[in-house]
Amino acid sequence: MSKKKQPINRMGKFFGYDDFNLELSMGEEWLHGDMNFTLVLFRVDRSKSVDDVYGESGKGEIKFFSPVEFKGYVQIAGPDNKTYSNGLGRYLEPGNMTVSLYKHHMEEKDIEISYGDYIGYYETEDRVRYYEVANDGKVTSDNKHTYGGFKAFYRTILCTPVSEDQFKGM
Amino acid sequence: MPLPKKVKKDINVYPSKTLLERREQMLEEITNQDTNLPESVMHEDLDLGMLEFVKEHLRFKSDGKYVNFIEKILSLQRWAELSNTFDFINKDEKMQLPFITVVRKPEVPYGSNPALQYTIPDRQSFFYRRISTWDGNRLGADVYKIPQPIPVDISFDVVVVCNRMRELNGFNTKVMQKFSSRQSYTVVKGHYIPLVLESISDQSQIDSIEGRRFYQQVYSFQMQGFLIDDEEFEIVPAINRELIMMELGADVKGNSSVNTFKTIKHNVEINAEVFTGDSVTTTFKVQRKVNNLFFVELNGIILVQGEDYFHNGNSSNIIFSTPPPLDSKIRISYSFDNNFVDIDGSRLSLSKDIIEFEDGVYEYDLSKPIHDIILVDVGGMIQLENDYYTFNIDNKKLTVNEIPPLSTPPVKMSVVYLTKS
Repeated sequence: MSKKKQPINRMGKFFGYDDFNLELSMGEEWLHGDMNFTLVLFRVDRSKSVDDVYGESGKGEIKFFSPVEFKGYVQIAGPDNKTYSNGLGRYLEPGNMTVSLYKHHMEEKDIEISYGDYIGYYETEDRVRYYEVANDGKVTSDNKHTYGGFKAFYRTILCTPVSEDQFKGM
Repeated sequence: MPLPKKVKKDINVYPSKTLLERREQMLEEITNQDTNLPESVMHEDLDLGMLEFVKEHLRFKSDGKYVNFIEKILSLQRWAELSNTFDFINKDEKMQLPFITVVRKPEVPYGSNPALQYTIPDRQSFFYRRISTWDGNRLGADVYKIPQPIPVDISFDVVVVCNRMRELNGFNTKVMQKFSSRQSYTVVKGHYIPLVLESISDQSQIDSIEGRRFYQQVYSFQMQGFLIDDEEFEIVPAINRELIMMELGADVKGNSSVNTFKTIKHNVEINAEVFTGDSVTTTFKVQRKVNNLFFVELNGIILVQGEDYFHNGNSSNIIFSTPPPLDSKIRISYSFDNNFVDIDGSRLSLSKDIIEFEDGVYEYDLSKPIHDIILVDVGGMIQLENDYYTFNIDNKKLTVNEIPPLSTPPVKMSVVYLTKS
């Protein structure tokens, strides 16, 4: 990324940095103060994780950085009733989790979320479900993520549930 | 030069079990088939054989532990599916990966095993084994019969579900090693049942980037089994031991030295066998059964039946009351058949009557109408027709012209004659 910064002047007659920052702080107040959805990011240490010829790790061979709590807006889809083999070997597949979080919050926490990282979400006091990032939402060029085209201010992360065989936190 | 390190230096030639353990093992081998019939082999036995085969030969290790295996054939009942996976489900009651499961296709078609195909119709039973029986008195046997086993082909899908390619490799290695010769065998109640690897298909869920991804491969096997139903077995009694009596005597004379055939009237053929006396033997055995004994001569003199010799029934033995002298010639004339066909085609049969003379009676009734007289002897003396006796054809009456003097025992007349049958 270029170190040279260019100020955003679009919509300048009606909307500016002050307005943007105000709206952002109000949104964060609502999300972090009122909603307070807390998640835990397990960012994979790709340099230390075992990676065989298939680019995969065995059980317990995934290394990750220190977990970091962060706040976001969580939406979890309903589970799917599925079977492994033509109606036999039934399992209930948890739905995907979509997390929306402010970029400002990520900068405060100094975190980055990448494809393949794991996110833990406490469903109950003693039950945490882990998800794998399937879409890290790094492209935020669309109108929805740019507050009417002014500037990107949040990311949408799509996560899929993982089995304990694959990842089970600490 | 040192020995190669991988050479096996000692071979254990002794059985793994000895003494009491070995005897118990042998007893088990002997008695585990004590019904003398094969055990039933039905669908559930074949299914169990498949499960045991997968458990024993196809399970592989992942992270140092054997992968989970559902030790039942999954079926429609949902509770059973859940209860058989209790050991490796998570809090969502979802089976933890990796695992192997066996799915049987419900249909079971007629078998393709060429050794059993359409060879014997109608479930006919066949000899399987003969088993001795003893009812306390008689030794007998039962024949155990079973029908031909019915060949069946059962298709199984062995599904491996896992998260890693290395686990797929582990399972594939096991299967390929086991089925390098196309087929392998599982043992079901002592029978070797062939298993054939038919196909391998991949149903991995890896095309969805926004969903859970896992590997899933299906290995399709065909079990070429057969059904044996003990309800179709038959046990039928075999022949029991018969009571066989054999009369043995040390003085039975062997074959006669001369055996001639002579045809007399009306195609009646008479056997004449000659024996030589040895002053010891009393029983002389002719070559065929004696249905009509005409006369027995000793050195040309006809002997009296019932006094000089005896003959019972139609046996082939002539028993003398005293042994004939050394080098004496015994001639036995007899016929072994009672029925003859005359030259005009009429059927004739021989009859023999013994008549005791009565004082003053010259005419005697025979038991059957006379067609012709073959032989008449009085007290051992052969009599000539018209000279001593006369008769009318198809009449029972025989007329003699002389009566021997009364004596004790009384003199008897023997009449061998033909009668129309």
